[in-house]
Amino acid sequence: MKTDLRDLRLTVETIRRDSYSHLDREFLSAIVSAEDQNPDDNEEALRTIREALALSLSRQGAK
Amino acid sequence: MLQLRALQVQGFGPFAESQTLEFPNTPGVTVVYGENMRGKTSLLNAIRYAFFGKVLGRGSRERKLHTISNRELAAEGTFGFSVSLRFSYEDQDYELVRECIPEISCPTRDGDYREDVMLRRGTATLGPQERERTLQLVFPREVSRFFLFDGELLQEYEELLVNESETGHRLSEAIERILGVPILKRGRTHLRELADDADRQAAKEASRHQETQALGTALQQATEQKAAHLAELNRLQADLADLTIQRTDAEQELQSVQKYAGILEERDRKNQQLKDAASEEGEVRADLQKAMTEAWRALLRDRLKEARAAAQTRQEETLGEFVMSLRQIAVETERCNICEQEIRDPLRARLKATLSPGIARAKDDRSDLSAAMSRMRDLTQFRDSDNRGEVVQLWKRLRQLQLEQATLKDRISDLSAALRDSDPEFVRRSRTSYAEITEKVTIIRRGIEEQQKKIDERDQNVQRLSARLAASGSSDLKETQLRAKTLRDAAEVFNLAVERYKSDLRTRVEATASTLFLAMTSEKRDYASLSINDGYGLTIIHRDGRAEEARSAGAEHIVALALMGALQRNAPLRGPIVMDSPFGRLDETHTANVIRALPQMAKQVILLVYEAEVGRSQVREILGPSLLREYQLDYVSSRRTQIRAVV
Repeated sequence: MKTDLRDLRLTVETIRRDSYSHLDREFLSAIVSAEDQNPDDNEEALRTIREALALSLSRQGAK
Repeated sequence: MLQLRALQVQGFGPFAESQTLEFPNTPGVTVVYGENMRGKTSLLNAIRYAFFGKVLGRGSRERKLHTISNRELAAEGTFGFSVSLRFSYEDQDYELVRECIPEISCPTRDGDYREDVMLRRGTATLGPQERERTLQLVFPREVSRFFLFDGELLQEYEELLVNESETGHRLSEAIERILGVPILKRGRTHLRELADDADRQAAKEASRHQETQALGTALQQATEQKAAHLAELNRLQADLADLTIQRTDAEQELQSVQKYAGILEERDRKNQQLKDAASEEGEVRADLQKAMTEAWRALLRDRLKEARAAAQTRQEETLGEFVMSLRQIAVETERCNICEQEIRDPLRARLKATLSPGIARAKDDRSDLSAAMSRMRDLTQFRDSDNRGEVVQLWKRLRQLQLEQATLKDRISDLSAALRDSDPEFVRRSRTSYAEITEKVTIIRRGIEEQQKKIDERDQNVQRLSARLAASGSSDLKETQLRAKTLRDAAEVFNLAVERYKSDLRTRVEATASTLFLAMTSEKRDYASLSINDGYGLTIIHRDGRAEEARSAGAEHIVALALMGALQRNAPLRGPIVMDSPFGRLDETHTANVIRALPQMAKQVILLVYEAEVGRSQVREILGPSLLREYQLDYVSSRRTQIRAVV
């Protein structure tokens, strides 16, 4: 039944843009998706977030 | 978005043979007409059964599946039923089949059945784990109340206005769930967990280097302390989740025995009264027995009075005779027999004058006097109390108590008959269990708040130490610290997002609900809007700016429907609305207004109604092209209904 996460993403993005602009937008969006897709699977959600973080840091040249 | 395509039922409620309802693939309303007992609620339950394997009855109580089999087929020895639901979700077609199959020839309880479930996506049948995961994703049970509901369920929304109401609290949680708030909350939790991991990693690395060893060790300790509180918080939250489920079950159980609970309470009270009356009867009987041992005295009272009078007379006579005999002796012997003194002439002459002449010498018989005095003494000592009043009172009380006990026994017998189908111990246990669980929930919530405070304190400590470590400029730690900081900042973004999203949602839900309410109410000139509270309860605001404190049942209904529509329009979770007889509390104007608003509430609406609620021609006129299809539930027999498409 989940189809429209636009408002959720918009809220997260607004806060990022206003107060945490150093954070990667894609990373935060990936977290929303991870939680949406794994409502009952913490391990899978954590694994997906770790992957998104690694990707984000590598994009920023930290790795 | 979830969209229902077709529902096929067989052996389910009044639907004996296999029958199908098709739902058009365009936005609009499908209406199913059926008189009472024709199976409208069964159709709602068939959808519920397909998704969740549950069927609900009055008061949202779960019904035994054994009772769902078609009664006509069951009378012929055929039990069990099946429901097949075709739907689309995210542009993929699904077929869900759930069957309740008897495992013995004559089942009598749910345990005599097995359940087979099949979920097919396209042409691929999903395995059990993937099937359950998909179903949870497509249609979470926790939010089903916003999509499948009847008038009774709508009434619960009044609870949202009651502070501290358990039902209201549960509803608020369910509303937040449909609005997607848990996505942000889980994101916050997971990011904090990962940030803590990164902090621990940074502390470990720092403690390996001499220049950062002290800071690293302190950070390690701080992270360990925080982790300990987090573990405790998680434990409490898991306990709370368990208890919440338990409380929901206990509440349902309590609701199902509510009728019996009242009867049982009265029976317990009457039994106690009977016990007290029996005990008092025992005491009264003892008092009566004691009183009766004395009661015979009252019968002798008159005789005794006479005897006393006679004895008194006799005593006086014998005393008089005795005195006379003493005087006579004194006159004759010139001496007093009592004091042995001589009696001189003047005294003797006076004594002689007191003696009656011509009377024979008085008897000097002391035994007569002694006998008369002794009798008088005996009669005086004899108790002649009259306790007849007391006896009568005791008898009256005894009879009253006996009557009272007979009445109590009759009532207890009636109450016991009413409790025949229940288990009194179960009722008592349900009450006790609900009270215990509620108390535990309160304690755990308090514990969670305390742990949360401690975690916040420890977290500040960790962050202070992390900042000092970062300032130390060790390049080895840079990467780990960057990871920790990114995660912590992201967690804070999600933390802020939870409150902002909820606040924005409340504003949007309030605005949409107000629009829907004003479209549905017949008093548009009086009302300005709806106002939402923190728990998503809605209050009607009059044009004069004041809240309408007292609301009619119809107004409550309209507000609940407005909330339903507003949630649908603002939630990331969207799907069909299936309404069963939702117009029971509404007048004609409100009913027409609600029908007009249906297409605004959800893209797919399935309305189950009886024609007395709303006329067919009226529905057609109001909905116009938004009316996609009509079905009629035709009477075949009291146990059999035929679904017919209205052309």
